[in-house]
Amino acid sequence: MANESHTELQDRAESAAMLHISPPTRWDQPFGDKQQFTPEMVQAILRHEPFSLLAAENFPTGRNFHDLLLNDGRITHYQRGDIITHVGAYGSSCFLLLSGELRLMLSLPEHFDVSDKKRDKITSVYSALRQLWSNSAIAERRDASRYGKHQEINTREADGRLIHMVENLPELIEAAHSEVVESGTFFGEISALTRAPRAAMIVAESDAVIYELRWQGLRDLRKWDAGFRIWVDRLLAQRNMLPFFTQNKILRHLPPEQILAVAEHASFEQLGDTHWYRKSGKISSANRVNSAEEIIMAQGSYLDGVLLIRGGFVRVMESYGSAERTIGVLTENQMYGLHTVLEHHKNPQRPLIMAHTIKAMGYVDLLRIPTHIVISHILPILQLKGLVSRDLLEQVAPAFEQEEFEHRDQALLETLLDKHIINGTATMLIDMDRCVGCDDCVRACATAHDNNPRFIRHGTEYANLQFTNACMQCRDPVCTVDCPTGAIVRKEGTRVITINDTACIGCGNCARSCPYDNIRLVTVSDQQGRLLMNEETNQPIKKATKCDLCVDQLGGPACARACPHDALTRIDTSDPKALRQWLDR
Amino acid sequence: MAGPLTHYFKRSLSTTLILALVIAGLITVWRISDTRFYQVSEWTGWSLFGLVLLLVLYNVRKKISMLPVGRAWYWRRMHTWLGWLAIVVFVLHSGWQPPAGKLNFILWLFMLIIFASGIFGLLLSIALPPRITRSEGRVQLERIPRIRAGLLRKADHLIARLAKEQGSQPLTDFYTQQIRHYLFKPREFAAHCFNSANQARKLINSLDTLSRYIDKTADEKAEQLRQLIDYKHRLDRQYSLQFLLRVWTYVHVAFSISLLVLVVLHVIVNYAYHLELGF
Ligand code: SF4
Ligand code: SF4
Repeated sequence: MANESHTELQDRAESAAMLHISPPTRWDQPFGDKQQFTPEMVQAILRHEPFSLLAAENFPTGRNFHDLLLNDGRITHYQRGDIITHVGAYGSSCFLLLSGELRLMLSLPEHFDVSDKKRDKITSVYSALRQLWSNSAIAERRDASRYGKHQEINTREADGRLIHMVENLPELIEAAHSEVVESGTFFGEISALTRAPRAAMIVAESDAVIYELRWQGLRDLRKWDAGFRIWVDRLLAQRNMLPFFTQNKILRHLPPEQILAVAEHASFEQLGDTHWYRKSGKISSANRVNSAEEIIMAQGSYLDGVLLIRGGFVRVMESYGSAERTIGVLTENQMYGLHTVLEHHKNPQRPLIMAHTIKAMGYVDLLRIPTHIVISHILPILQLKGLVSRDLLEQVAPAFEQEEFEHRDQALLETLLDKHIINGTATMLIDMDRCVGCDDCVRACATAHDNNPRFIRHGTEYANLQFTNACMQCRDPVCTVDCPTGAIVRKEGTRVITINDTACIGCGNCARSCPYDNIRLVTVSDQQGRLLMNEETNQPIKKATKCDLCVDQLGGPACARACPHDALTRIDTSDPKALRQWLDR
Repeated sequence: MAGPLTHYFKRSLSTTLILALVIAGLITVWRISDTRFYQVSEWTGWSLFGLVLLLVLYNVRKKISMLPVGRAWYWRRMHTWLGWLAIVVFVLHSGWQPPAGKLNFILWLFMLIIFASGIFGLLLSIALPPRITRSEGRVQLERIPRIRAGLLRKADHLIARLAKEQGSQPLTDFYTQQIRHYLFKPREFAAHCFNSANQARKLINSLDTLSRYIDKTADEKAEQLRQLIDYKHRLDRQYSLQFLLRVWTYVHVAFSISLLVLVVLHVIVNYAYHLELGF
């Protein structure tokens, strides 16, 4: 067969039916315009830490850190008032301030709020009930005066990109709690390394020049240059380790100085592909995620430490028949290998060998804590009586190693993984054996959302379950990655991804990025029902809409409350216990 | 059918027991008050009125989905159990025979229709969804007319092309006389509900027989028609089951609202009558 196709290829080549071109390479499309990098500019970048630590000899032959800096980086000239990062937005690059001054906004004053007032939290029973008569018969009605002139934030185009700017910076600085960021500061590494949303808004206080390095470049610089890696990881440990460890139900018991000690020895790793969703197209009943999964560690290899997952999903597999089957999945704040180390510590005869193959599903961000550090710092917490219960241990570090590990419904598990539904923290799940198709859920959703339901009652099906087309509030919300205005963000302190209607420019990037097809662009009307049109293009103004889990409503998701047959739930699909409980209800 | 029903009753065992106790208590009170010549019809009447109001509240709950007033699922369960209770109180109130007087008779009849449609709906909502899920080609009820129209368009186009290319009288005739008629609108509603629809099979068999009289090109078109007929058969089954699942609520709700008006009239008329008699 292989020979046949080879001959076929040769034949076609000979018959000149082929065009030979150079194969596509990583930097065919650099991050920014390489012409911007004058020798002085490169010198300026290399003057500041951590870039000043880069040493050419640390890079293997054929690799040059200059290429990395130029191809994975870009220079942006910001003006006073320009917004560099939005709080809650998704960021995948880090920055070096080359000149000028910035302001880090630790808190934003209320009057600076650009959110759509209509979508503010409903706080009284009366205001909830009022929706009955105040909702117009016309769907998607908006207060047109909120768009344009009343905004605190405006946009401008610079270096081929849309940049948001604050209209009245002095007023904002006066009202907000803020800090100055000085020239030479390196920042943004937390989001770039951990895919966490930006923690604060950063605004240019004077005209500023910023070097921005995308995460791929940051990853490679860290990989090849130990000095660079240690500096960045130390910064990350200082800025992020304490809050991160306190989210982990076991590690939060470590005293701060021990956390820093663990962080010092641990290594950060990023595997897989942050843009997995771009390759897969829309996920549907017939279509699955098809990006290759990178092996993190193979079954039978030496386990050199415990893996703590910081973001993304890890598929755990074991040999079965002539192939491998999935037996579980790990996500944020869960650990792999703890039980093996524990067993080995109790009985040194037991080898530190991987019992499974583990793979990065899409994209994974993890921390590898060396075995000796686990033994000296983490095991003592487990041995303290009453601190970590069996249940808690099982939750944080599922015992895939133990034989009694209960295999879940294999086909269901594979469906959740193949279609990446595991990503959902509030997936809409409908039990079709109970659903009578009354559409009460759809109507309740419409009442809570401008008379237009935010989901369609169909979707991927497995047996009697339907994973309905409603935004799942993903752990890895890829829809937020390409939003040019930071309109689609994760609401602070929650899992909910919300769209700021005022800031949304209707470009459709989020809808195109969402692999589950759960975002819709809608045309909007003013209070009188007149279609809002763009005066420049004469095209209808569009806004992105999606399920927001009724964040602004009393009592949570209206769809789940409205179902009279207990057929619909919003569930964290990566939580096998919750899933099992609901299925067995 | 037995599977989901058994499952439903097993799940509701404790509530059924409580309800049985309440009903037993009610019957005892009724017997005592009946033998002691208390105003039985009065207290059973007012209880029934109260129950009807509570039952109607369920519909109000559906309209105020934006308020945190508990999950509709709990309301519906409550609605079901209060419904069973209302049947018992209704029997105690009206006796076993149809009452005298036109208004009372209409009221009695409406009650029966509401109870019957409620029980029918309850059974359907337990038994039909699994059937719908398990029969192939589930689509939303609202989308079915559009899909059906699409099928018809496809079939028309197929035959028009055949006629243009070379024509085949037997197939064209059979299409215009029978297949088109079948594809045009939903067929065999009741038969689909009982899983006994066979018009599609007959048409496909006839097409098989017709194959002897048509050439290869026409036979290819006949094969495509077979697939369309088969699809339409599945679509009709979905339509029948889903329509049935929905239509009973219209009957139930419409009669319930009319009943509320009649109940108020009934109360007024009865009290006016009693006052006249000097009670
Ligand atoms: S819109 Fe799509 S990608 Fe974004 S959180 Fe919702 S389901 Fe996930
Ligand atoms: S409310 Fe429940 S039963 Fe009705 S359509 Fe929605 S999920 Fe199905």
